[in-house]
Amino acid sequence: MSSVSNYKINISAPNLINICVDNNEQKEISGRLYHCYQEEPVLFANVVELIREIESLFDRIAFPQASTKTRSFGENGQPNSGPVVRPEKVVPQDQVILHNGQRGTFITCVKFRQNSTWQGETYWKEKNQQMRFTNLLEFIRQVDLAVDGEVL
Amino acid sequence: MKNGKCKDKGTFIVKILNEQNSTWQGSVTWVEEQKTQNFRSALELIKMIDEALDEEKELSE
Repeated sequence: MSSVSNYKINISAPNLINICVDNNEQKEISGRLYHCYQEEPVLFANVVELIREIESLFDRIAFPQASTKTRSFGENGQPNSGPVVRPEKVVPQDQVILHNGQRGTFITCVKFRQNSTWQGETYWKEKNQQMRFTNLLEFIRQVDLAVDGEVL
Repeated sequence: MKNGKCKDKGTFIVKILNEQNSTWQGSVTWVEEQKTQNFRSALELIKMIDEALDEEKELSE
């Protein structure tokens, strides 16, 4: 399991993330998020926080670039802060994938951000299972079902 | 969420008009601010509501 060659996912992707789900209280997942640009885990208390953190990471590293700009209720849309300095990679991918969640570990690679949503694949570490998703709803459903399955 | 337990954060009326690309398209109205915007996916809808609530929080602080 620990061998890198066992992973059925492209672990050299610069935007590789490791979602470690530690809790599943009242159908709300919480846990830690690991990526290459920060040594400490990013904690999330619910799925919205998880999405916010992941989107923010992709925007900062500009990968994968979004094909659309997110709309907002404001008249001018999102504030444009100009060119952003991309963060440097501080943790290699093979370290990112080492962490494990108490309820489930999902090594995820979002390949595209088309149609204002995500397309990519996720690897459920505990079950050695690869799952593809074509949008955010599908991704959330897959993680939710996997975590629920672990509880049952 | 139980009524009266905490201050109302915001009211959003969501109208889903399409289900293209396996996700949702439609419009969302922020009732308190009387603003309506169209969304192209569930992700965009979540981000718009999240941002609106952040804005609301900043205004009330």
